[in-house]
Amino acid sequence: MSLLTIFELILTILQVVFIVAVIIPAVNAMILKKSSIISVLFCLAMVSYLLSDLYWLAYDSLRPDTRMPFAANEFAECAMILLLATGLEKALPDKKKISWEILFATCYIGANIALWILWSGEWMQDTVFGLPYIYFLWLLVRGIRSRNLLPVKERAVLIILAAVIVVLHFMCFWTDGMFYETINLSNTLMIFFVSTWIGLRCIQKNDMFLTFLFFLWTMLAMFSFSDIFYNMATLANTLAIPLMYKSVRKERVSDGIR
Amino acid sequence: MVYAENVLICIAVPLAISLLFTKRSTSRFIASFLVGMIVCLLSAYISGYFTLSSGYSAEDTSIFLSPIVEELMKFLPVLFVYFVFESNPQEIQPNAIGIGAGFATFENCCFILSSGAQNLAYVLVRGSAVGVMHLVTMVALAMGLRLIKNYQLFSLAGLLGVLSLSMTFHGLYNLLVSEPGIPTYIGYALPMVCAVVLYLIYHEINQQDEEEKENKNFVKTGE
Repeated sequence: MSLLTIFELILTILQVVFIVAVIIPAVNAMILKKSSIISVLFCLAMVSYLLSDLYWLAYDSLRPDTRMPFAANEFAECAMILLLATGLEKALPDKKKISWEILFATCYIGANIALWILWSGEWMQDTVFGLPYIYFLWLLVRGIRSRNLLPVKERAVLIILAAVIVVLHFMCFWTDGMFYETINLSNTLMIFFVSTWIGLRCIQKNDMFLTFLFFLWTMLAMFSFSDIFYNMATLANTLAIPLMYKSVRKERVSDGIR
Repeated sequence: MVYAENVLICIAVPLAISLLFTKRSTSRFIASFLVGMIVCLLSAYISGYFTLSSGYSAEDTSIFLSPIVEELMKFLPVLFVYFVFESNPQEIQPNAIGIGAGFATFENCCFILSSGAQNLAYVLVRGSAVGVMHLVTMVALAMGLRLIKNYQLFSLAGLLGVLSLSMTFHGLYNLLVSEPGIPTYIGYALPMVCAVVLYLIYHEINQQDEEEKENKNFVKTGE
C-alpha cells in the first residue's frame, strides 16, 4: 500500500467521522419528528454518502492501488446528488427557468463528463451518473441568482474561471513537456483559488445554495486529480459537510418548511 | 451442479398450496416469500449473463454487479405492490420482509446444496450473515419508503436514494466477505449490527407514533 493510499484512507476516515457527526443529530430530529423536508433529504443524502465512503474505505484497504470498477457506490453518489437536488428544489424561492442557466449547467457538466470519459474510458457510467450533476448545478445557479447571494460581477468571474479550468483540462490532453506542466500547475492553482473563494463566501453567507455549490465544486475537483491534490480536494470536500449542515439548519429555522 | 429451478419447485409447491388455506395477512407474507425465491432465481440468471457479457470474473461479478442486480430485483416487486395495490408504507413492511426472507432462504438452500452442510458453525454464520443481510436491506428499504411517503417525497430522487442505500450496503457486505481474515469477520457482523440499529430506530419511531396517537385521542376526548 503506497503512502498516498494510506493518506487517502486517513482522509476518508476523517470524512466518515464528519458525516456521522452530521447524521446523528439529523436522525434524532427525524425520530422526534422535529425535522423539515430539507433536513430529511439532507440526512438521507449524507447516509448515501457515508455508505459510499465506507465502500471506498473497504475497497482501498482490501485492494490498494487498483482502480475500482463499476460498483454499487456509484448509485449511492448519484442518489446523494439527486436527494440534495430535491432539497434545493423545495427551497428554491423563484421557479423562473432562464434558458442560459440550463445551457450553462448542461455545457459545463457535459464538458466535465467528456473529461471524465477521456480520463477513465468508462463512457457509459460516466454519462449516466453524470446527468444528475447537470440538474444539481442548474438548481444551484438558479438559487444563487434568485436569492442574490453573489453580485453579478462575481458570478460572471466565477463562470469564466470555471470555463477556463475546463478548457485548460482539455488542453492538457494535447500538450506535453514544459507547456503541459505550466498548464497543469496553473489549472491546479485556479481550482484551489476558486475553492477558497467559494468556501469563504459560504462562511460569510451561510446559505444552502452556496454551501452546496462548494460541495459540488470540491467533488468536481476530486474527480480532476489523482495525486496529492486529490487528497487536498477531499479535505475541502470534508470541510463542506459541516458547512452544509449549518446552512440546512439555518434554512429550517428561517423558513420552517415542512 | 445445482438444479436451482427444481429446488425452487420443490420448496414453492407446498407454500403455494398453503396460500389456499391461509388468511389475508399470512397469505400476503407467504406470497411475498415465494416472490422472493423467484426473484433470487431470476437475479442469478441476470448475474450469470453479466458474468459472460461484461468480462468480469465470477468473483468480481458477485462483488461488484450482483448487489446491484439483486437489490434492484428485490425492489421491483415492492414497488409493484406499492403502486398497483396502493398499499400504505406500513403495509409494505411485511411484503418487503417476506421478499427478503424468501430470497435469503432460496440463496442459502442453493449454496448449501452446492457446497455441503457438514460444518454447523459455518452454516450458522452463513444463515445469520447473508440471511440477515437480505432482511436488513429490505427492512431498510421499507422504512425508507415509509419515510419518503411521510414527507411526501415520493420522487425519483427519493426512490433512488432508498434503493442506493440497500445496494451499497449489500455491495459493502460482498466486498468485505470476499477477503479472508478480519474483513470477513467484519462483513459477517455487519448485518447483525445493522439489524439491531434498525430495530432500535423502528421501535423508537413506533413509540413516537403511538404517543402521537394517544395525544390526539386525549385532545379529542378533552374537547
